[in-house]
Amino acid sequence: MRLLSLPTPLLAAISLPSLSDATHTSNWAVLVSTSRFWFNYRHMANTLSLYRTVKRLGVPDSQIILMLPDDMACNPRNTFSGSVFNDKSRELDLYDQKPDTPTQESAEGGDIATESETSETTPQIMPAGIEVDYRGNEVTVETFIRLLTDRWPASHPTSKRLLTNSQSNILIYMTGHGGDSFLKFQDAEEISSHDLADAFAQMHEKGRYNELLFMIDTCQANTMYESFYSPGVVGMGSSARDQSSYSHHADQDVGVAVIDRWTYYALEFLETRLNSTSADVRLGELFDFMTFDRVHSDAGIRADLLEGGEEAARNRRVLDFFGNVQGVDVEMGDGGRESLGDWRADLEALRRIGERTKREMGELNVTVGAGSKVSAREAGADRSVLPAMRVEGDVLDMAASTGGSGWLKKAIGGTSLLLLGAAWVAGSKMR
Amino acid sequence: MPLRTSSKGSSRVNIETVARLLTIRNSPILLRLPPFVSALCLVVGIAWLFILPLNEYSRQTYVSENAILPGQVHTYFGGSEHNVFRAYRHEVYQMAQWSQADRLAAIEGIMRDIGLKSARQPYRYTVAGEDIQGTNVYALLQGPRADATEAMVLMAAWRNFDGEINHSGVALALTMARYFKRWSIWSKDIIILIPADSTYGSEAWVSAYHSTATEVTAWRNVSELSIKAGALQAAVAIDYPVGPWGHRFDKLDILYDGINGALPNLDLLNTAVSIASGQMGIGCSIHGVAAHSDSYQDRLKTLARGVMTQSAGHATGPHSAFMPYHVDAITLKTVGDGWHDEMSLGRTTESIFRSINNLLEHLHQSFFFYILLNANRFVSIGNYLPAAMLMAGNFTIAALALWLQSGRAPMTPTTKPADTASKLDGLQLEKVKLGDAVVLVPIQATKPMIRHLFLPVLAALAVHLFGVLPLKALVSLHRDYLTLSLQAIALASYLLPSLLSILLVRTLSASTQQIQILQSLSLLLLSAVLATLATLNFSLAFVVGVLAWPLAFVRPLFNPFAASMTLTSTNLHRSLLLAGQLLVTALYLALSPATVLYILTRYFDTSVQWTLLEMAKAWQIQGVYTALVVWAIWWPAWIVGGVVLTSSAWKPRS
Repeated sequence: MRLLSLPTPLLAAISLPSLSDATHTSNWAVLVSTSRFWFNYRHMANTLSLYRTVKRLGVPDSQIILMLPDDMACNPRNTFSGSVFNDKSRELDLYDQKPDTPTQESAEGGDIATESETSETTPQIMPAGIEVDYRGNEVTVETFIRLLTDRWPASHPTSKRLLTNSQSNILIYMTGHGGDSFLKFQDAEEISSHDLADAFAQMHEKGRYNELLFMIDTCQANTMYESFYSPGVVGMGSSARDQSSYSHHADQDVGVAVIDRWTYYALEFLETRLNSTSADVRLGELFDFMTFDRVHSDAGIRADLLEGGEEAARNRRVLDFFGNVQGVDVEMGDGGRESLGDWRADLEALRRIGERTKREMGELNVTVGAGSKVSAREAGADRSVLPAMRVEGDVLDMAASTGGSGWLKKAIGGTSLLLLGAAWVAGSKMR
Repeated sequence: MPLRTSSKGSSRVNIETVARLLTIRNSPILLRLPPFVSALCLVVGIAWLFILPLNEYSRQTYVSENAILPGQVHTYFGGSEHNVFRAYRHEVYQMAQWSQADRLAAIEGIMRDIGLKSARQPYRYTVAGEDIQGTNVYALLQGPRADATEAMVLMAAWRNFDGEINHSGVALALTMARYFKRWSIWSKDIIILIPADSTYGSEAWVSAYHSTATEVTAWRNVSELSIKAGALQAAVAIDYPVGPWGHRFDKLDILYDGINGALPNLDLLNTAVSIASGQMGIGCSIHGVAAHSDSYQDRLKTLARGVMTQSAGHATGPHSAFMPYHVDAITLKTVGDGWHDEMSLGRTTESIFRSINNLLEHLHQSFFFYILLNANRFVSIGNYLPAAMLMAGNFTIAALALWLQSGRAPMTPTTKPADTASKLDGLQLEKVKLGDAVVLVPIQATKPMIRHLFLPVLAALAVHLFGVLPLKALVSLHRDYLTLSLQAIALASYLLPSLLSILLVRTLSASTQQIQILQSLSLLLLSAVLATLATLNFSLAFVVGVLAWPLAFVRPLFNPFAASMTLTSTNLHRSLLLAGQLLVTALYLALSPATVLYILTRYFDTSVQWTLLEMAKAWQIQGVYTALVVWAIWWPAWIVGGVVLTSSAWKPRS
């Protein structure tokens, strides 16, 4: 209401960027770690780091699908039980997201109360806990493809579905052990780049995304997006064909590598450059940040599927994929007038439907009143079936008899009911 | 056979092939080839071992198990733990003065104080009139968050393999137990085991661990274990026999040979080596080659020691008993004077246990068959196995050649014909009709010789069964009679071939052919056993192959002064032949199992009685089958060789 009192140019200035940028109306993130086992700690840390970031930038848990095949926090080998760290400084517990400034205790990994205490002093308080949508053996190629293409049995819970539409931007992050054009899922199976490409194509056909940013941190990661062919997909990978992706560093107390290089620097970028949900940082800057010196492998991008090519991709805001928009999708067509006409047409159609229903109801009343008419119609129907069912003469005879002796049958039925009632009364009396 | 074919063309081809084959079968080159091929196998097989230390045939070790992550953790064993260790070491030193009962109670007391469940296991073996008894003490540290399905063993035998009291080793194991108890990161339970003795204590414990009920026999009485944990994943033994004043060591000698030459997974060794040398800076040696310069000579030396130890098949430390149960185990033995103290050994152990703790499944990724040239260089089975296979192949070729020979009619003249023409004359040809074609082939090629198998098979079987006698005698007699029985066996072995050949040739009138078949069968068996054995215990197969090599070349002796020889040879020639034959006989006698045993004890400067007693104990208690291979495989083959050698001497003169 207050907006109305503002000068018109200002109003235009506010609404303009939102109109030009509002190519999407919702943001979703699918974050997948594909490996289990203690020595793959870093893959879980990678994924949880990304999870934390998208959450920090405003994507609600309901729009994040998190797939974790293993539970490092509760692994007996974990020195800091109940915690997962992505840096040896252990300043940030990814598993149970406490206030950003950890207490001395949590850094030492002693006995810490796992319930997060929300202290008012810290500026950024994350909602506590993580919501894992698919865990353990649920993390399979089949689940992943079903998730993307939204092919589920009716019983599948809504919270575990990717409920996107053609106006949704999706961030897909995957990490694990991979090779040339495949990514291993839990030592048992693998997803190939073609599977992924086909899944994205299906998503496109079904109008399940507006634009899609695919990020993958694995060995020979860039081979994973080479076979994509659906428009609107931007790919980012950590290493070229025949290249390994490396871990960044190991925590000598946890005893395993805690994060991969590419993800480490992606996070560094996201943490330092995206300080607020309105940061105007472009995707191109993120691309340029992943240099060989940092990643120790040739990080790659693919943007030719996006309208406008790489230039367009570089100009996309990082928040278009990592943040969240709270737009309302009002389908307006060319202008208000026409939509009013649409409503009129809709109302007219509704009126017609109502009239038709009324008419049919009236007709039905008439037919119910004349029972003989119905039986005649039934008999007719039966007769028309006759040539096809010549063998089953008995059935037809019975059907014919039903037509003639309807009232008689009802009388017999009623009498027998009465007789049964009498017998029951007599029986109860006799006892 | 496709000889009877309707088509003319193809039958011609077949006939040509058959004719060619028949000619080849008779070609003098082919007939004389086998001994040379045999010798070639032998030479190449032995030379093979000498090229293994080269860079091209060996590889740098690497950890192939992803999960094990060696040396990726900080070790915190230190500080006040050092005081605890010193206190324990003094206590252990005190205990050494006490009676066994007091000592066991004291060790158990310490374990209980730490907060562990402890138990004892008395055991007793009686072998060759000797009583081996003791009581193992062990404790179970249950991983606070572990699921109790797996366990690892930290061992320190009360007496180490050399019989010294393992003061610091036991104290360190107890300190480690106390230290480990405070961690909450164990995914497997930890068993702290103090066997009374390095060989039989751990044997008794591990065999009881893997059996549900232990049967008491006259020679074996092993108590059941009152506390057990899950499947053992690995065992590490500490051998640090230093008294209360301590001793700084230079290197860790890593012992890894198991019973019957079984080896622990190479990953466990690699983990220990990489942690000790990479993380802690402690050098590692293998087979006691402390000053290893990584030169060809040093590598060869390590290889030779490895082959010798493995072929003996006996225990080399408390870890050895674990191998037959497929539990990978090693012993860390401190050697030399240096600057590493007990705390660095403790930290090494801690890190090794953290690595084993990381395992998700039994060690399986790396090699189980390897020969180490250095602490970080190895030869894999694919590279060394051909050596033993060539040794076995040598006998197979000799056996097949003998079999072929036994199936052929003897070529009439033993002397060489003067010229080619007369050679051709001597060759009797025969017409063979194949369809509409006629082929001329030598008569020997077509005439089948019937092999009279009954006697040779029976003789070979009997000799091999007879091998049980010396085996039985040497493993079950009282120790006072062991030396005597070996002497008797040696003497009997020298006489037996002659006696047997008299029996065969004179009494049972065995033909030359039957002697050939006997030798062929014996060699065939030897080669088959050696080839099989090579995949289980390469070194044993190889060593037996080397020691038995003359058996492939043994042919009946002949008298150079016999009438048939006088026509063609000069006196000098005949004398040389005689000398050669004497030499062969001497070599044959020198390579008898008993003689070799005597030579080996002399070489390693041990008493014969001690060696025999150890062999008997190893056979009875640990099931070391080296004695079986010697007496039931090698010895019968050697006897048969002697029978062949002497067979012609007793041939009735015609």
